[in-house]
Amino acid sequence: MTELPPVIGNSVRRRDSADKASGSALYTDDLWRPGMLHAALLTSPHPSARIISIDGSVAAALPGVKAIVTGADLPTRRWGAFVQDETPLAVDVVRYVGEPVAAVVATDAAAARAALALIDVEYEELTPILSIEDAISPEAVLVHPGFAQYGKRGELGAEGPNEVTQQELTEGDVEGAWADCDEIVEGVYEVPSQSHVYLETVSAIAEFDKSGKLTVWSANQSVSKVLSTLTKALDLPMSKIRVITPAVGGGFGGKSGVTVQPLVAHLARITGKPVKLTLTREDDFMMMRRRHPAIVKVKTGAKADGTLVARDLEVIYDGGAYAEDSPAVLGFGLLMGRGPYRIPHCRLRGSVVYTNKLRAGGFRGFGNPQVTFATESQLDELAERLGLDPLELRLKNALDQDELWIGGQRITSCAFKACLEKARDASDWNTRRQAGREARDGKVRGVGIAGVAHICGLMGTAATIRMAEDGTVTLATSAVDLGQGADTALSQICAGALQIGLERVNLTGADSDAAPYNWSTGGSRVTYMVGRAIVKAADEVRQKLIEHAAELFECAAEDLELRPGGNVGLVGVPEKIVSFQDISLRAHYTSGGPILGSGALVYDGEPFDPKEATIRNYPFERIGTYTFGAQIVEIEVDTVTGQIEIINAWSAHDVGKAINPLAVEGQIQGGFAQGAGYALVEELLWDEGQPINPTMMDYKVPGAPDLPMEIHPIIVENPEPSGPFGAKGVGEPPLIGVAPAIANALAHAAGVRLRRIPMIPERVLDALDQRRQE
Amino acid sequence: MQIHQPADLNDAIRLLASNDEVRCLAGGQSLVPMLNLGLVDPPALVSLRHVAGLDRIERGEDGSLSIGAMASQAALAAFQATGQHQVLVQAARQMAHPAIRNFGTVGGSLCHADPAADLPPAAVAAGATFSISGPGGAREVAAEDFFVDYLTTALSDAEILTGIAVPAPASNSAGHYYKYARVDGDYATVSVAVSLSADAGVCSGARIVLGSCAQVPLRLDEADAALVGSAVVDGSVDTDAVARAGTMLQQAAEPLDDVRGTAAYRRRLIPGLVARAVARAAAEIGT
Amino acid sequence: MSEKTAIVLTVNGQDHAVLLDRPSTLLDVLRHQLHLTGTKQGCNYGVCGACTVLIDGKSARACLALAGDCGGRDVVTVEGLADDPVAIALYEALVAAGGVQCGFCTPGISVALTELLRERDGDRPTRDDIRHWLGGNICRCTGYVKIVEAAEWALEMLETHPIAEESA
Ligand SMILES: Cc1cc2nc3c(=O)[nH]c(=O)nc-3n(C[C@H](O)[C@H](O)[C@H](O)COP(=O)(O)OP(=O)(O)OC[C@H]3O[C@@H](n4cnc5c(N)ncnc54)[C@H](O)[C@@H]3O)c2cc1C
Ligand code: FES
Ligand code: FES
Repeated sequence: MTELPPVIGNSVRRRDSADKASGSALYTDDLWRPGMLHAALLTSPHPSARIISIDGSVAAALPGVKAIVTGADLPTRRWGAFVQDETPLAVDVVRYVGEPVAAVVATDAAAARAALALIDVEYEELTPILSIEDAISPEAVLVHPGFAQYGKRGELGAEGPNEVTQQELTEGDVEGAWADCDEIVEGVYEVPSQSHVYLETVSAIAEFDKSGKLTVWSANQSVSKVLSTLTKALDLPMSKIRVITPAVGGGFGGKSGVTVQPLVAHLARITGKPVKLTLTREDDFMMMRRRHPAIVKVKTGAKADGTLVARDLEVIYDGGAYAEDSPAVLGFGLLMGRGPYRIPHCRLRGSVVYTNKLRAGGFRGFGNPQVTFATESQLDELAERLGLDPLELRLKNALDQDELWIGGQRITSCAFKACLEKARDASDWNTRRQAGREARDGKVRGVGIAGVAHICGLMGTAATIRMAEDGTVTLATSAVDLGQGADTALSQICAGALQIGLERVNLTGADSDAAPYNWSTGGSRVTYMVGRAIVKAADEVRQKLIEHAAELFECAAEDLELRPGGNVGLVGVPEKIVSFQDISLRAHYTSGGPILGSGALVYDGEPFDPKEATIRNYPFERIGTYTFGAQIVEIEVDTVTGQIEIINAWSAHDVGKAINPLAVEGQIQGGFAQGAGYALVEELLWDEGQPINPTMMDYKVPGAPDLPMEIHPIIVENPEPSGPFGAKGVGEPPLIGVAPAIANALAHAAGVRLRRIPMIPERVLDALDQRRQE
Repeated sequence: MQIHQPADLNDAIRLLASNDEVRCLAGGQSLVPMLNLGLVDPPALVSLRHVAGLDRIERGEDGSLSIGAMASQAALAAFQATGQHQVLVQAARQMAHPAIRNFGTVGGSLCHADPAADLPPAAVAAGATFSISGPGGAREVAAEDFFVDYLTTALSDAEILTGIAVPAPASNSAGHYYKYARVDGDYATVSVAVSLSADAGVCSGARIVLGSCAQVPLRLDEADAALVGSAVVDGSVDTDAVARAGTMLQQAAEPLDDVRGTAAYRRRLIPGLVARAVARAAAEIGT
Repeated sequence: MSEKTAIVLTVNGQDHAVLLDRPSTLLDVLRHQLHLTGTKQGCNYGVCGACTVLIDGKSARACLALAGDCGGRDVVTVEGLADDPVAIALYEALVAAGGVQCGFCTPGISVALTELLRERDGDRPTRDDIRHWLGGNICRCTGYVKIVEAAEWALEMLETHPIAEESA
């Protein structure tokens, strides 16, 4: 690649940070509309029940209460990304504790909440499905008896009771391959529900104007998904809907689907007033989304020298009461089942089942952390049996550029080995592996590794660039910045592509009136996918600029080039230039019209190759552009309590090209912190379908004193040919390797293997005691 | 809901006595979360913030310590304590978070009587005496008798805790508060408050008190007695004696069973954490 | 309960007459009556720290202060720190260090750190002091590293450019 513009690879300041730090950035709940009413939700106390009757008459009579709305008051138009199984409020039955049953709209939020207690709902309790085992038992009752009739996208292949989907990716002859293996390890791994706990709870405001146009402000990860769902749910054309995303206080996948927007829009329609709904933290915990818990069965075989030969993996994800993104989550998980390794014989199968619990959805890593916890733990178990260093085992089997991913896609860029090596060197791995394990005061130390892979290419997106009279540009994309810094990175890409200063790029917010389609901020795809669309749009702008300049200079377009600082110049003649401003003025006022560029693309990498693999019910036709990483963690285990403390972490990630290195580091450290929570403390718990810990008091996420300062980000740059300036995504990968790296460090430190996370102290202590007894 | 702000203790008592449901408001750091979650709904609150003289922390000439009920947890955490008094200061330092300690009070924490809270076991270990005023006048109760049950104290209606008094520390003594929690700032899974004194290489007094291991702070005469008379050499106490004490406490414990740990797990932790806490207290005594 | 109580709240140096018709928290009044929305609500029961304000110069949970108990107290929100040299140094450092991602925790963190850095008289807070001070402010995005670094930078800035720190 030729020399990059200075704005690329530069840790320029985030555009939004100063406003956020000083409290002037506005989030949805900070907004206010004249005459605005407030909603509160009555939720189901039962995991499964039939609604016999709802009497809101007493509540409706309270001062300040404007409306009581139930599922029966709303048109039944179900929605869902893959299975149309959701309604804004429960209709006839409730399927999890916390499911909204009725909404109160009142003059203020406290009055609305006060009225909830006076709504009388009569239920007939039904037998709930509370675990994966319950769900798949042949006698299981169905969470969705009407499943067959629901609208669906694509082939889901659901067969067994409560199954949402069933998928498979298989290569080679697994059954035949075991005979070639010198060592085979089998295990069952279990991973919990993790709650997103984004700091801003879900919030939305809806307002109709007199012309009947609906505007919805909300915390979300995709303006486009909200728009398309509102169209269906309200039976309004898209031309009558505007979706705006103010500042968002974190999402991590939890706001990627559609949440309360359709309901709030209905409430605005019913009351004829703007309506705001901001969930309380408890409601958010119980009503929104969570990471899929899963049971992962894995069997891996290798030659005595460590060459991996075969793997059989079967995963069942608990999808909860509604399907949402579950088929995609399973698809991601299976795609990562072989990991970034050469394993010629691989059978990867999985399913998602409904249960009467909170729906599971996308969460940083999207099905990958579950599978990777199992496979990366198992690689260490295998290394131990083979007497090999676990890092060497990974290096030996690591995939390279131009090899095939499972499913037959060629890997266009891969620095996995470099990630392993850099993490190894930075952590002084060999010394730490050999160091004495005993530390002071009943504590033992150990170090562990995990390999990481993910993707960043999927679905469609678009961007437009229009040039103002003065030669500055307005970039429009509906990519939502959840805090990861997309707004800044995308502006940098635009500035870089046009070789102008960042201050000359204006960015529209994520606003459907201003910006074109973008599937979602998710799948680590924004920098890569939206960045590519921006480069395309900039290219069209560049061409038009050059056409104008060619007319001005009366020369051939091929003889012209962009010059840094917003100029077009004649190749080889440094002083022959014309500024963007002059061209734009000409375009606006004398010829050709303002300069506009647009870029749109759907992920266009190689599709799966049916000759390479058996592929069943896979939810995406194309998905890819692989990213790689290596995670090393050093821990200390308290042998008295079983508590694990993280001492050091080295996270190496192949990001292609870091557009904004400081932002990449922030993603790495923040992802590590969430991964540490997942590995060590976080688990949503239920008892007979009742949530046990839906508060921040009881469900703990790591605080500053719980994490080390020594979370060392290692940025590995190996340009991806299709990426904008070589960039790939890094949003999700930093979380993925943390849990297995810690489990492997625990095995190193204390000789015990936990196949279940979170590795809460009690589980660790059980394992230590068991070992002490042996 | 009305918030009264009396400046005088007797007014406060009178206001409290006017209605059973009326409650005191100290720092609000436990009461307001309960209000916000709809768990309590008192018709009125009596703020003790303006009642003069309740927020002092003072060392008497005899070395005894008196802590006003309205002293903030932050003020206690910053207090330069000596000997056994350290157990209280260390407990205060490990409670909650800075902003909560700034406003949460010593008296509020003690009166809330959460079995997982930090100050109650520390107050019992320190051998504090609680001063109470009410419609019937003033009275004193020993720390141990103050904690009656889960969120329940010896205070009767309209009584106010005005402060606690801790006797002067023994000359060669130390206190240590060991808190074990899931994450920083969480309530303890198990905590151990220790107060220890030594005389000529022999343990002359010991109080070991567990938090989260019963509905009230747990102390056993036998366990304390097991330590007294054992050797305290080079800053460590005879390990057999400590192990015996730990086992006795373990057997007597009826630990909480919740998201912070199962009862079985907490029970298992007791001997090891008692040993750790005693060792640290002993190390502070030195030789 | 429907009786209204009138109180005077001093917020950012200004007196506001506020009518309360229920046991409102200071957080509710700040956000919904005074429209000072820089103070955020992340939990409403004291755990997250997004609502941190200064009361009489000390960091406080606005969600755990009853507005009716705040009469006569000096309440300062993040908006009131706009000209505060310590807060300005912190903002600058947080932005430069990359300590801001979604930003929802950041106003609360700025306020909490303002108290720590203001009161440093002589005792320079160590890295561990800062980490433990931040224990009461949950950030789900950053992993805290860059926030702690920012606090250290701000400290350095304040030490190398000592300015009159009395805020208006
Ligand atoms: C997020 C969070 C984390 C916490 N973590 C911990 C922790 O780790 N360890 C810990 O120990 N605590 C913890 N706490 C509790 C905290 O310490 C509280 O401050 C304390 O329990 C109550 O003190 P207060 O002054 O705020 O009392 P308030 O909340 O005002 O009152 C508490 C109760 O005591 C009564 N009361 C108060 N003062 C008196 C008095 N003088 N006489 C009679 N009755 C009185 C009140 O009526 C009320 O019933 C935590 C709290 C929060 C919100
Ligand atoms: S909103 Fe006050 S601490 Fe969370
Ligand atoms: S920046 Fe998002 S919570 Fe801290």
